[in-house]
Amino acid sequence: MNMLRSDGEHKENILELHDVTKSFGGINALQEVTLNIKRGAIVGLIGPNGAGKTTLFNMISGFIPMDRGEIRFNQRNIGKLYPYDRSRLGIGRTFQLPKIFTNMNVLGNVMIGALQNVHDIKKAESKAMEILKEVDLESFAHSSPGELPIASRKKLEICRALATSPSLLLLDEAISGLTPKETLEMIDLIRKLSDKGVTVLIIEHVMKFIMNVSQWLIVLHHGQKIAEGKPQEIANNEIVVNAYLGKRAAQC
Amino acid sequence: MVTLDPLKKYMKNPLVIFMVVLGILPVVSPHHFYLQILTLVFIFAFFSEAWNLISGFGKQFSLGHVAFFGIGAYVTGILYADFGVSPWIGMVLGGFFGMLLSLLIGFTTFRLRAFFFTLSTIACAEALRVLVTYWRLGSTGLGTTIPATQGFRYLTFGQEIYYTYLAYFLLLLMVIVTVKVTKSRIGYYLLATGGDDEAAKSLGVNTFRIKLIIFGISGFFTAIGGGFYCMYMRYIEPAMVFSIDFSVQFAVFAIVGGLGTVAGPIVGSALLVPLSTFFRSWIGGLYTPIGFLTYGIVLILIILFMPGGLMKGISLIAGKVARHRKS
Repeated sequence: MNMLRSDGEHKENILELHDVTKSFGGINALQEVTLNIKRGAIVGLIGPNGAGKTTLFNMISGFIPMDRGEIRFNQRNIGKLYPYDRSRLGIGRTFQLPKIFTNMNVLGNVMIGALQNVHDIKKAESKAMEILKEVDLESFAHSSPGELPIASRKKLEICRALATSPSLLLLDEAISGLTPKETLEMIDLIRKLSDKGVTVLIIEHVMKFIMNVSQWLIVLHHGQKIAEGKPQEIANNEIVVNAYLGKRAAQC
Repeated sequence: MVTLDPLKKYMKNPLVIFMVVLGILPVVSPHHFYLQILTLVFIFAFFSEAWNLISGFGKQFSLGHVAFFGIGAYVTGILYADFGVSPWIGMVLGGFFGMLLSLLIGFTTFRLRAFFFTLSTIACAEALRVLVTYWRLGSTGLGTTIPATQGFRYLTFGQEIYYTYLAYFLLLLMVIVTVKVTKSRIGYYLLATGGDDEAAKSLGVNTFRIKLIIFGISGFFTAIGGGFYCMYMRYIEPAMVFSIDFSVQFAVFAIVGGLGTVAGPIVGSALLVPLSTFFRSWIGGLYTPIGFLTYGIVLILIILFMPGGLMKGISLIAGKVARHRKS
């Protein structure tokens, strides 16, 4: 497949989607979406409800098969791989509604991720504990995840994904339902991840947050990519303002 | 230097204490009748424990476990009655047949979700019952009577206590297997699969493979138990060993005791096996329906007041007592 890019530029991209298409019955969820995610970047994926953002996440992580197109991760075609294979290659994700294992404690949740690379239970436990410490959740290690407030649950989901040592992390609405203080903590956490070399792709509706944290934005509308660029460019993009942002949000 | 520290550590474990107490009970039982009840408690706790592995820890609710039970009983019974193969060998062979069957059923049905999986396991077990009924396995008619030649080799004993202890050791083996599995990497993955299949996959867990492995282990042990049951009852027929009642009993004992706990199936069986015997045999005759009704009411009350099962109820009470003592 010709991506019309030089080799150097090709290697800079951790994820490449080309002509990705998906329809559910008569509804076109995604139409020939082509995009590249640069290694180490924080990229925001925005668009109105039903734009196809979560569908795109599900296709990158392997939960929904494509009808057509190609997904390359680290130059490898992953379009036909199962979700667990994609996770083992380095794609971690969270879900719109946190999917926490309520039948085990907080530490156990993170251990499931850690066990992917560390087969020894004790070592997985200490790796999980280290990750929990990094996000100040170690005091909850032996608590039931059901007792955690929403912000901690979201952090726990991120911890769990981080325990798999991903190089690409997909965050689906990481800050919805969080207080301003918790949002700032989440921004710090995402930046720390990026500093460590983890590429982060975020779906979010809160414009102030996404404009602040992202280095690059991709806009979907009715299953099509309508724009991409730096946050300020997107805020001034007339098509995006008309289709999604509105004039007030664009001034954020 | 050899120290007693590891032993002391184990003796502080409530599960170990519980198993030791159960192990002493047959010796102190005053009557043959009580030994029979104990044998049934142990063997049903064993079945329920094997069921709990996939359905309690893994949340794959199977009501087709009687298929493995039946296949184990038939392989052991027919090999012994028709070919003179020692039931010990028959039980292990039956175990492998049970495992193969569980892998086959699991491979075809684990893609189904929730109740569809449960229904398909019932359908598989029923299909096997019909198959065995019309196929008429072995040289006998519909039922097969097991020869009663006494001896360890023939797994036939003159005294009940031997069966009781054999059932106890089977249960002990199942408890050890369950503890080992649940504390291993595969056990963590099993819990994750039971917790949320999609989240587990997103963390690199091949949930289909995990379910299949655990279903295989569960089927293997259930079939071994089926072989023991056949030798204990000395008679098998399709309507008996492929009856869905058995699957329901395995499930009910684990649910009442505590799903997804190691001790739950044992506690459930220890309570419900004697209780059902009491209602069936002591309140028998004209009053049998009243006995069944009362048994049903007891079950409803337990589920109503302890929805997490007796083990959760016990741990809640123990927690309250500990807090009360602290204050």
